[in-house]
Amino acid sequence: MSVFCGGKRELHCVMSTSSKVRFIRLVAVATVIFSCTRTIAVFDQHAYENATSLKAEALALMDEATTPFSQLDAEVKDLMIRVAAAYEYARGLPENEITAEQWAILKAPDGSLLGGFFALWAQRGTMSAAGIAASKSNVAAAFDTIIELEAAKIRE
Amino acid sequence: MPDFNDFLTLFKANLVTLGRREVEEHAEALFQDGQDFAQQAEADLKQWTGALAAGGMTGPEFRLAVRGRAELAQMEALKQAGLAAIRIDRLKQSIVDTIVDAATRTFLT
Repeated sequence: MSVFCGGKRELHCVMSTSSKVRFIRLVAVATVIFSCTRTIAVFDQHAYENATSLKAEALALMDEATTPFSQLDAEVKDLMIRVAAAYEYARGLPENEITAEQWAILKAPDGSLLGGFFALWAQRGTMSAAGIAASKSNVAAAFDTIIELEAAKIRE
Repeated sequence: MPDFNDFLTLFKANLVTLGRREVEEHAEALFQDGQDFAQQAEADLKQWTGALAAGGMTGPEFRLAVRGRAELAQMEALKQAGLAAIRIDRLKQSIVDTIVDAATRTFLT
């Protein structure tokens, strides 16, 4: 209801008890709807463990790249299958497009991170220690971007 | 007797404080992350160029490392986009909490 207060016109809604209850219900419904619409996926323990364990395995396997690729072909294929599985898992989570895109960049065989490193190793047979160290620093930091983003997500 | 204007005044005051805090905290963190990334990239590039010149690293390995760093920058940008989305969700949650808090303090006390 509108009233005059001290000569200045302003909206002054004096609320009855039933109005208060209705208002609080309205606030509750609005806040539930508002809070249920997420911009990004919530934290997922399995996704976090995928990233941390695959990081450790990938870096250990990269260290072996002074050895001819043919001797570790099976290990590389096995790891890349598990990386692909982690990507598919991330892609399947709702509102998780950003993390899925990170995995896609990391694993791309025509890219220059983990997938690209294994492709070059396969093509050239062996890698130099300096080449391994350079790519390892990129791949480690790339995994960290996934891990840090997952760790920062809201826990439900 | 409490009224809707009291509620709005309290809600707006809380919201302004909340928004100011969010902007101040995260602008500084974002700037620091960018600086750290650029410094690390510069140091690594110097090292890789030295290794290439000394014959310790092959041309394809050098290209892989440099292109990999560019892709890493892309992944870092995605992480920052994700962190911004998380902040939006946290802010939404804080707005909800602020509404509930202001309504409760105005009408139920």
